[in-house]
Amino acid sequence: MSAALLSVGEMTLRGLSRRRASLALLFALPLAFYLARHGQPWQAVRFLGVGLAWAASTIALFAALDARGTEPRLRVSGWSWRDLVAGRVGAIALLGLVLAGCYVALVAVDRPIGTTGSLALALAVTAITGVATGSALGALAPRELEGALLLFIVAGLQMVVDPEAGAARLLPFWSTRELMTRAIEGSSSSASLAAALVHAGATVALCALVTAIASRRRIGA
Amino acid sequence: MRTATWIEQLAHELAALDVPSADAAAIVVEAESHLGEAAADPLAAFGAPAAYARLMADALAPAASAGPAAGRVRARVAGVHKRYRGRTVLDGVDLTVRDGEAVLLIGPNGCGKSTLVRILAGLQRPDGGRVAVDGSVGYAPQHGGVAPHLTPSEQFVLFGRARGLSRAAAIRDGVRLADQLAWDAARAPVAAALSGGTRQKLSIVLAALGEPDLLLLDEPYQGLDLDSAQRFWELLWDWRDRGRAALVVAHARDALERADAVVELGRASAPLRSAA
Repeated sequence: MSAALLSVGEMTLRGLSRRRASLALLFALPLAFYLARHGQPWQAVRFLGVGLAWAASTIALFAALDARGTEPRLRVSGWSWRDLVAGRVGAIALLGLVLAGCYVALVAVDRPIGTTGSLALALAVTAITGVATGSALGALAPRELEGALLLFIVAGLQMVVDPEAGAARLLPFWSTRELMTRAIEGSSSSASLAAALVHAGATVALCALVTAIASRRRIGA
Repeated sequence: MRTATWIEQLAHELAALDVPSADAAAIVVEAESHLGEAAADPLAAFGAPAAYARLMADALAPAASAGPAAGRVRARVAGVHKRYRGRTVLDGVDLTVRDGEAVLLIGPNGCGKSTLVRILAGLQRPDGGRVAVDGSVGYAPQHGGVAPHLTPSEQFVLFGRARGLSRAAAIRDGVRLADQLAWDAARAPVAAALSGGTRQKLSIVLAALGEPDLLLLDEPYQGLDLDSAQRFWELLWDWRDRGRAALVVAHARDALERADAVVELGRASAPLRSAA
């Protein structure tokens, strides 16, 4: 890994580590969703996935917006726009995976459902797609308010649209639902692991493309 | 005394005092323009030509004689145009900054100073004209530009590493530059907890870290106290004397006497006083 990615990633995490209230709320969001349906284990795990997707996309969105004050200047100082974006998004993805790991451990200890491996895969993929989605929205949004509203639209549609409808596949967290269903029901589930992974991969690739184009334009080549 | 006679004597006195011809021409044009607009008696407005010439020569002397001869061109802007939201902000601007030169960019609010600096930093593209920058650039924007949740030392590492410095060298250089601005950065808290003036010092240090070839500072001493502003200029002169180039956007009138050359936007883009 290059010195640029390590330096930018390290400083992204150091900056976030000082925002203790934000970090506490970041961890609280999936927990609140999980506890709200604690009496219905399957639903609790499904909503844990939704909460993690929201938490990961929110932290990535605001990390992108916070970085706007310094990234153009850092580019002038010598970092490339790729170093800056990859270092930041990589650091946030690492944080998302740590968050996912914490919740895998919580479910395993609190109320094991299905296999821990399937749950770990579902939450890890959710964290990565969440970070990719939040980073893309952060690259597109002109300011915080617009960014938050864009995120509400995406997250709200994910809740409202019938998951069996074709339109649901156009939303970024369709793979989360499929993977969570598979984690709960096991290999007998009708949910396709391959389709979910392809959807997640396509979501991450599309978000990465949007992030790259918008960031290059904003930070400067 | 007739205006034409007074102007002629002023030009003669400036030449006798060895004022560079470009500077002398700018002084004469400025005086002529003022007398024309105000329809004033030159003796009442400026005093005797010899006294006024000496005053202008003295004002030019510290800046003109303090630094080494201006050298290699670090930034050249020729005929640059830029429109922003349907309004022309830069209209055929010309500017040159050389090694060993601290150039001041002045002009009324909204005349495009920050836009020109951003164009030189490579953060905006002009709609027309030519821009050439030779070498590395350190840029301090007018607002923001520091990471609010990092300590100064962490920011020194982040910016210093971009210039190829080791962590230790970045912190050492950052603390040394901060010390020149009478600020103890080694034990300072995160940027969000600093006062506005101290954040401004941090921004200046981050721009100068790693000795870039060209410094671009957009209103760098907003919020600095008088002592800190003086130290800023001493840092800049030291920078200039070591053969580096700097372009500084400022409003303070005292800056006019401290820079090697002055370019005013919003009127003609020709330098008022040039070391080039």
